[in-house]
Amino acid sequence: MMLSRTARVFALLLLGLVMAVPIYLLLSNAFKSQQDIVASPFGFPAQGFSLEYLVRALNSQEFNVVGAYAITVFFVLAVNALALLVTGPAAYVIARGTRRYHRVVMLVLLMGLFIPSQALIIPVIYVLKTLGLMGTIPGFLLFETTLIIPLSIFLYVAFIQSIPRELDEAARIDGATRLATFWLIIFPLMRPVVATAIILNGIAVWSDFVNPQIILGPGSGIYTVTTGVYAAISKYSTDFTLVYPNMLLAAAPVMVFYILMQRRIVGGLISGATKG
Amino acid sequence: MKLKNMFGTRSRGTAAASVLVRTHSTHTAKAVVAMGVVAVALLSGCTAGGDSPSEGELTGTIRMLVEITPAKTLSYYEGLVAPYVESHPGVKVVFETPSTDGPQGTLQQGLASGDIPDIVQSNLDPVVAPQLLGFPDEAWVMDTPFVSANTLDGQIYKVATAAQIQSLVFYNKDAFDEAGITTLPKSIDEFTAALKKLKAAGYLPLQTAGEWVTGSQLIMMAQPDLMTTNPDFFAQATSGEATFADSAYATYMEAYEGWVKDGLVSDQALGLKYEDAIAGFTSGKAATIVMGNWLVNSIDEANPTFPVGVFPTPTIDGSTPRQYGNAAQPYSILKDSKNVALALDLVKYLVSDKTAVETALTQGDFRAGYSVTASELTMAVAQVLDDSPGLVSFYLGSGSSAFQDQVNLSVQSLYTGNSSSVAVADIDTWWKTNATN
Amino acid sequence: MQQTSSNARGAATAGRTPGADSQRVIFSKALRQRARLRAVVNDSSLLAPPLVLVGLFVIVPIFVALYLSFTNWTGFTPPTPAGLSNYVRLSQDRDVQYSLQLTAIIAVVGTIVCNVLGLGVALLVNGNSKFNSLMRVLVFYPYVIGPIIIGFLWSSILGSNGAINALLHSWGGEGFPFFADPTWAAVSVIAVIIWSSFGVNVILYLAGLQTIPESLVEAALIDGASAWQTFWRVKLPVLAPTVTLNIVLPVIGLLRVYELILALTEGGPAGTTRTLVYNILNISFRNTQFGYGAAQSVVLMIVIIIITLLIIRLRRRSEEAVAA
Repeated sequence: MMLSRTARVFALLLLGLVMAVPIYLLLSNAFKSQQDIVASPFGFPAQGFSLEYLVRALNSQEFNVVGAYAITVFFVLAVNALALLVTGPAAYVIARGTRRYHRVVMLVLLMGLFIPSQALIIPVIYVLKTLGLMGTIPGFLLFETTLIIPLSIFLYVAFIQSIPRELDEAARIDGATRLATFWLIIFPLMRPVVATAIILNGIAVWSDFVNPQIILGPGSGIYTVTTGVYAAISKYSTDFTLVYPNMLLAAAPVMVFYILMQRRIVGGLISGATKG
Repeated sequence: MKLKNMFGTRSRGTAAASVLVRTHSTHTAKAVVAMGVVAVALLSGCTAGGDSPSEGELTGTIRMLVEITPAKTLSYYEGLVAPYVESHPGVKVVFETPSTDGPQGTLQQGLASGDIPDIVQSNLDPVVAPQLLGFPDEAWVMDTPFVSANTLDGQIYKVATAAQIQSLVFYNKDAFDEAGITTLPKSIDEFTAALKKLKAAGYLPLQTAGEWVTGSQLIMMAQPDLMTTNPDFFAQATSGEATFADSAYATYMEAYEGWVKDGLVSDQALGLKYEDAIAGFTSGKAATIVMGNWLVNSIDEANPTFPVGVFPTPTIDGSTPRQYGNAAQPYSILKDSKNVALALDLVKYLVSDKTAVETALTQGDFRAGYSVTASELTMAVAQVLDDSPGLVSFYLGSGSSAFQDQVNLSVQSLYTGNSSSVAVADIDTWWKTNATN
Repeated sequence: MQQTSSNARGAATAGRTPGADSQRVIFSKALRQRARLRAVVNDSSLLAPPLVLVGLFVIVPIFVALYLSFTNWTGFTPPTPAGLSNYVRLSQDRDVQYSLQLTAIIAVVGTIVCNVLGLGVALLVNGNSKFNSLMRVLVFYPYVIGPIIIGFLWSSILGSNGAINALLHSWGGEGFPFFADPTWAAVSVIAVIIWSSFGVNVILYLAGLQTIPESLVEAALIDGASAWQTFWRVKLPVLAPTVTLNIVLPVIGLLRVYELILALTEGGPAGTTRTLVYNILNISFRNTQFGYGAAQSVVLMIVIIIITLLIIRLRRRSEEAVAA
């Protein structure tokens, strides 16, 4: 390549170090006492590793890790299901559509890409309050779904356009409704793109902080992994025996999932990007 | 008016510290603290009566949003309400911890989203007073400290358990001896001179920090002079007759600017949190720290290897300052709470029942008619209160917490190179744009 | 389309039995029109759900934001009209101007560095080896973990008592004021943002690199071009659309930085690391000035739309040049 082999290796090692050191710190410091962390943050502790801090974080009243995971997984699945229900058929219509208004609808649905959700959150509070959905899970789910509509529509439309028309034309001629055609013919073929969408949207919903924090605020008692870890750590940020274990608990499952699925995830992104 | 985030939203991790009943440090004197004459004269004179809580009538769950500090932990609150909960079967109290915006910000967000607690334990900015219940004109309310300060437009929107004072300088006695400081400084100039001596002796003269600490320390020092010179200052600032640039704030900011330039405060202070400041003082690295009386608990708990003393913050002319004081551990009830009767009964217990108040006083606050076993340091603080000519309060109007934020920003800007005149001008600009009354 | 074909058919059959055929024409036209209408209605019922959601939660809020920006709203009492006062205040507010500048710097510097790094690393890890797979994981994981945890993690590393300073103290030295000094803090924040974002650029460039036809590269090499020249003349132009994506997405993302700041510095020291979104949410919720916050949101939306359109238009021109 352009760089000599040694330069290349050196660059990659440096990169690897810069990226890996924080993970190393996260892992090692979660098992050390406060003095050990302060005295030798990058090294091994004098008294050996201990599980007690991790156990304490697991059992903490303030951040119910297991509960937060359960609810966040539920949100991820629910939002993805809703998004598929809502955007799937619409994407089919747009992908097969030839009229002008189909283009317009697509543009409207893509608007969300350009309007940042943080700019919307304040008026959305107003809207949700008027609808009586503020502070409720349904209200939160509806808003989250809306936020992932642009990406979903984008991916699905592109994918469906690559499915030969003859397949669903045949069903239409046989008299099937649009909806039936979509679910029975098109949807079974959409597995790869749906997987990509679930992964990408899942990451977005999982790491969303602002929206659950504001819509489902501290008073609702519902904590996702992000709002929960924020609530647990932000007040105690000088106590590293609380900070590191909590962070590890919040990050580890996602990391493991990511490592296992990384080829899928990265591949999905790549194919999504090329189709764009 | 309590400074927002005065207690910060950090808690000590060494959880072995569940301070419920203050037990001993080697500094504890089993002595009784009687209320000083001054305090009695200023707070209500009656002894707080505690009537027995009603049994069995009120049930339900109360959500209480509380201030979490190194000294006021969840265990502390749980212990505080335990007797009430035990004697009231069917009553449950759930404590909510605030976000980093503190109880004020958390409550405001809750109000915006329509999701509110029943009780809030915090010195709330009266901007939310319309959402709060007005406490009734009953003996148990009128007996609490600072009733008139807690009233806005005829509505008593919070009741205090006790009183706290904030214009205090805690100091390392050994460090002062080493630096050759024989008399405690009373004026700003004397204070600055003492700080210089401490620096020469190898100490960090004055412990400061980031977060809310920076601005609060200035307010603790400047408020007495401000209000003593002009009790109507804030009203006049709004009408334009008075400016901060022409007030005690400007003088203290100038002095602070000097301290920053002369290295009498740490140039890395802004990166420190409140707990770091406590540790900095109790570890002996810093020789003095300006803080309210709630610091006593944290100092005693840290059990420093040197004796700790306290003197009032320096004044411009060297006289003894009035103490900047306000409600300690106050409670407000949300008007739209679903359990107003129970909330009212619980608050009544917390501010008038003898056991509850005594538990609260282990935080180092003061209440007329109560004697509590306390440490030497608490007694020293009580002595400062006794010796002071009176109390002054903070800005009691709407927007006080936002005002505090602005003062905080201004003082912090002194560390980043701003001159004190610009910093004070910022406060004046803010006041013109924002003060609503 | 259907229109013309039916007319053509109508014209073709018109000659034979006038009455019956014209009736058939009219009849078929009506049927076709009804079928078209049914199709539209059917389509609409499928298009409606996402449109309703977007309408409710994107379009309506945009107008509500506009409305709120002309009011004073505490969040819990009814809004009171305020005319243009919020916008006037915006133009004079030094804090807002500062956060605008900071956000702009983050967006510009961040995009440039992330692109350079992204492309560079993508070129380095483009193979299919296990090692490259590992590097790809390492580079992308910050995106997966999310900004809150990243922010706390780095604040534990760079903070006054964090890992780096603790190490330096144990060696007897002075720490670095990563978050205590405003300049240091701004640089640290930008560095952390870049660290956590460039992985996305790597992935996007990897995708783009896969679209470069091997044949083109080989042809250039056979013609004697050096690796460097191959890169600039052959690969980069083909990557043009990827570059556009790599500019638009990061810019939009960087203009919205908030959670990272919240966890990393809380806008400090002395409010010198407050981005625009941080200001919006801070002002609104802490100071109960939702009207003012809404005004800032409106400004943010306009800025993002303008910038995005600008970038797309500029890139479109260069892409057309490439395609030619």
